[in-house]
Amino acid sequence: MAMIDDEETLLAFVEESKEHMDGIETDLLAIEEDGADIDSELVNKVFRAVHSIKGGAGFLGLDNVKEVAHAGENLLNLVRNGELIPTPEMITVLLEGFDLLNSMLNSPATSNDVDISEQISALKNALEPSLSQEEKSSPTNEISLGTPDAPNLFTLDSLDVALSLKGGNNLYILVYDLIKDIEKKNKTPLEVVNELMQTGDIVDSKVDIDAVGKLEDDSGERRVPFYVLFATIMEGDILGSFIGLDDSFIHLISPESLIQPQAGEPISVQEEEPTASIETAPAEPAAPKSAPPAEPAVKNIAKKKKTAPVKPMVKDSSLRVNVKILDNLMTLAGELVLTRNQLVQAVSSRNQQGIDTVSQRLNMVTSELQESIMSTRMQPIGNIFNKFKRVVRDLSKSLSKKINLIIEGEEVELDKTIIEAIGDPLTHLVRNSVDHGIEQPETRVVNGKDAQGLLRLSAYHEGGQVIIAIEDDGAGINTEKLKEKVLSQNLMEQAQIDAMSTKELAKLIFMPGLSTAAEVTDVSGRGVGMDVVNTNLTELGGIIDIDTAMGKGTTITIKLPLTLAIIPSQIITCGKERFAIPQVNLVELVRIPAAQVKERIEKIGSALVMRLRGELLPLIRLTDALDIERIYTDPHTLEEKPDRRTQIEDRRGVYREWDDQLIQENEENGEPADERRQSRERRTNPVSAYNIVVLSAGDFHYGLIVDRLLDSEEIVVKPLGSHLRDCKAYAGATIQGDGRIAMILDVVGLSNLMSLTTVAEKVKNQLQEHEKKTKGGEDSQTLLIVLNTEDEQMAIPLGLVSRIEKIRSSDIEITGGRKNIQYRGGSLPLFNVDEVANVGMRDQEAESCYVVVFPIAGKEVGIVMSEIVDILDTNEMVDDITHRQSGILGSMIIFDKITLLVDLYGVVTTVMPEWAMLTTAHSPTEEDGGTNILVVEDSKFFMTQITNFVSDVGYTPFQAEDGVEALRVLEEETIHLVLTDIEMPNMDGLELTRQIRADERWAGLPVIAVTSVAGEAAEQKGQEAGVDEYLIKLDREQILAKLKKYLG
Amino acid sequence: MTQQTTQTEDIRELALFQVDDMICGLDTSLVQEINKQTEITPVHRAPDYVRGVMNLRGEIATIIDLRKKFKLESININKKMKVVVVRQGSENIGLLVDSVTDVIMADSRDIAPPPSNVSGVPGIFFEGIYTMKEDLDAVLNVDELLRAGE
Repeated sequence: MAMIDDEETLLAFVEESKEHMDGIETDLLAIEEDGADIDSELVNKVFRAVHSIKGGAGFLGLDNVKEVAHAGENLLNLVRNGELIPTPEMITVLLEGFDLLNSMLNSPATSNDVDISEQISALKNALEPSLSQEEKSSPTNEISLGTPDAPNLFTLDSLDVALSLKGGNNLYILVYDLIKDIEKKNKTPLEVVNELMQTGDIVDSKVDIDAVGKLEDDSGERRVPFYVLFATIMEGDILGSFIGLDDSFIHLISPESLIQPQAGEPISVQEEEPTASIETAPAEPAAPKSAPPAEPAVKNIAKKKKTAPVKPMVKDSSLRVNVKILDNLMTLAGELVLTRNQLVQAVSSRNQQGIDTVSQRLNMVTSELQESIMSTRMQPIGNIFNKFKRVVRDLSKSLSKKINLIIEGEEVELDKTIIEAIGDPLTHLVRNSVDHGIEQPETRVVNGKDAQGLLRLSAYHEGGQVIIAIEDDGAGINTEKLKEKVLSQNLMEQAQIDAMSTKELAKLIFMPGLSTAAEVTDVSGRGVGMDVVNTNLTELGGIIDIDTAMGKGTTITIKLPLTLAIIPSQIITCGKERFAIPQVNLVELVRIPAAQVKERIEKIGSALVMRLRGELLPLIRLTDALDIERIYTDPHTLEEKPDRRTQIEDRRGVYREWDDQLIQENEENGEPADERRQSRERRTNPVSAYNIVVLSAGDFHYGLIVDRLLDSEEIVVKPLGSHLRDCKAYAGATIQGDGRIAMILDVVGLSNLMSLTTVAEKVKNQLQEHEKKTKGGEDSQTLLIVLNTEDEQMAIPLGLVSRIEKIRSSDIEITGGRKNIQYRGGSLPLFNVDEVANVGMRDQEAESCYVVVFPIAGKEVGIVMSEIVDILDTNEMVDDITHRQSGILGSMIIFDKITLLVDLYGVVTTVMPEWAMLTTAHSPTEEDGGTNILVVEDSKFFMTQITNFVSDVGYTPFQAEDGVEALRVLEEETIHLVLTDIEMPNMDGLELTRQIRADERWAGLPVIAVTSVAGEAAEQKGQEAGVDEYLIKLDREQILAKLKKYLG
Repeated sequence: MTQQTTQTEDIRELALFQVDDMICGLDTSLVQEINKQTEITPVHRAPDYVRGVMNLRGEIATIIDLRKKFKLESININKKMKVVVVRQGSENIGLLVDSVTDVIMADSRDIAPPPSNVSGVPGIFFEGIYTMKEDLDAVLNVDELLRAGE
């Protein structure tokens, strides 16, 4: 009986069935959608799939599987013949049936113990409408069919028999011999089953094990009969030759013999047919479970299976690979062998040039081989996406919502392991969107939306990663409610929450123990899940992002690496070892010159933080995290010595030796002591700079101080042994080109190791305090902080700057009394602030300097600065009195220093007054008069700025401090254009715009928003409110150009 | 290749190596290879008995310092040191030893059960004691040695 116990056969069957099942769900849903307009090709496909499963299951003694498949097949057959029109109810029954099949196929050994009666009766009930009166009359009657040698082989519902005879089919019992007809012919039973199915339908099949026992005593011919109840349109004489079975083993069951005796009068008829015997048995109450003679034998097999559980199925999954890919792999393997031969030859003949060529070739072959092998692991994401059709259908049904699911980018491929791992998180997200996101149809209609909600699942490639987006047009995430939840559960402090942006707030849903659903539903809302989703995706190296707008919808974006086996990484060194950091976790690399360490790295409590574009970033040293002895490279001798410094911001400790030496040298040279100090501060030795790798650990970033940055490489991830399993700092190891091992750092693990989450929070708190201190009702402004002279700090509004270039001082040319530099094929006029304003002179001798490039009067000019310090957002008050002078707008305190706000326009026009004429010449002059512009601005400084230049070019400015006042002015005066700030007390610019847009009197009135908050999101908000233009404050050029555009 | 089967045979082949002043033996059937390459990459934050990892023909092998395992002081790598590679489950593990001395044939009947400790090293690490002409040889119990957590 090796044949049936053969695990390989079972495995092959399960695998094949699974493959059949894969497509079924999608197809069924498509069938449902088509309704009466049946796509017969599609129905056939599903039918055939179920059919194959049934055939195989019967053979393997998986009775339950067979029965369910059979019931489903009957239903589909009617659909196929157009006798039944698929209804959603019917599809639901079918889907449930297939679910059951699927779960039974997952554990075939126990499948016969599963209770299938519910699905069977549901499937049978669904048949009802199609049956003719006579067919219906005896739906539970059973017929036994058999050959003369073995009567009662098959016990069938008379209904099934009737169904199988539809369409002019003949019914046969085929008797195969497992040994002679199958094994000896080098076929597998599954092949036979498949072969048969090409010519007809297998109604039932059975292996008679009892017969084996009997026949074994017989020393003669041994037979293991395999009976197949086969329905086909073929005639008996050609069937034999077609399926390669001797006619004597084909028994025709004549249609007449199958006609039911009249209902109510069940009699047993023993037909004396020459080819087959038929017995009609009265229906028993428990029809599906009646035991035909051969069944116990089949059961035995099932029990036997149980004692030897089919474990390998779970462990070693197999993969189907396109033959083309295999062929390609074969070719590449051939190439590889060839290359090896060439290499051996080149090496033995010491032919350097040959080795070079071969190594190039090897490089090529390897990459191609890598690519091909990877492609065998790649699977389309559609495999998962298509499952959601069902999920969404079922969910929307149970929640009585209408949802249009759009799936895009099914063909995008990801590594098998990733595909398998993202299934659950994605399901969760989709469920959430359906359950919480999309509203009830009535609500949607009330809110002016289409009753049918939209859910879009899409996948696409971007920068070597795959982006998956789940987008709905539902209610969006109620961040207010989230806030309340977080506060009521004491998960965070009020102050922390207040400081968060909408995006950050939305990300709170990933916090453990949080659920916003008002009611806990079946589907979601149990307060677990989203955090798990986040963790799971982060583990995969994925990054999750949320974008939500109340009432508009939510988009969740997931960035995933293509594969986990080979990953691009940044190689760094620390101490004497090399480490690899996966590129997906890498945000940016920052190098802080030794001279800036003091300003940029600070200590908050015991935590190190770095200032990066105005944000504070928690810092850790890799040496601390891994307990490595710190070494530093002596800037003088380039020797590596142990570093005993404890505080990073304390630079003196390290350099003492060197400083002393320096002081001695300087004293010998007779330089005064003060200058010594300065020269030390100024000294920027490249080897003592800090290399910081900014990493993303899920929802926060941190900086890792490393010794050196090496190349970025594609590395092969090798797992670590069991003894190192508890080392959370590593994600694995890799072997580098020189054979050395580099450990792969686990970015999340490292941050946990150093309890960085708490540090991140501390930093946030500090930031808030800092913000509170500085908050003065002004809106924040992004400034470029520069130095003109060493101790005179200046600021330039970043919004006005086109570019910053570093140039060599020697490249500056003086032509016609003006400084210029050759730049992008033309000349760029250069200006110095000290030409205009009474400030310190820039050091002209310095080797290099920076040029801040900005546009004016239709061309680009540059202002020369000696150093760039930082870029930051600030809402410091601008003092426009104390330092006000030509070229300087005012001053503010930044980094505890008085910082002059440079008037770029002022500097240029003071030096070149004719250019100012150029910019104003095309603007209206006094004669236009009467063009009234309302300037709405709460900051006195900006108000003066804007009104000044508006009146400079001949418009009449009106002033209002906030939206409320602006509306009053609008009522009283004839205003031709409104220039408004966004952030204002009482009524902000957006609200003001909405009010203006809502009032007919001011229809067509241009509204230009001027703000310091630049960015697409802000701009979009402005446009949604009805703003015509969105401009940067102090961008005089742009503002004037737009004024001209709107006022003619 | 369990302990039972090797024990029932009369003659066992033992690879002998030295850890500090102790001679240890390991059934050769358990030894994959003896490697004189001792370029070990340290793994920081690993358990202290893990000396590091090694590139064993493209696979990462964990190197266990037997001295540390026996609660002795670790010593710097020297030329005589070898890595005895054994297999545990699906991974290779290297045992760092002071030197490999010999391979002998031992009559398993001469292997006595281990005392509770062998020169200060807990007896659980040993399967038995084999008496050689002049010396004692402790036969290592690999399973216990490689148990990850202690």
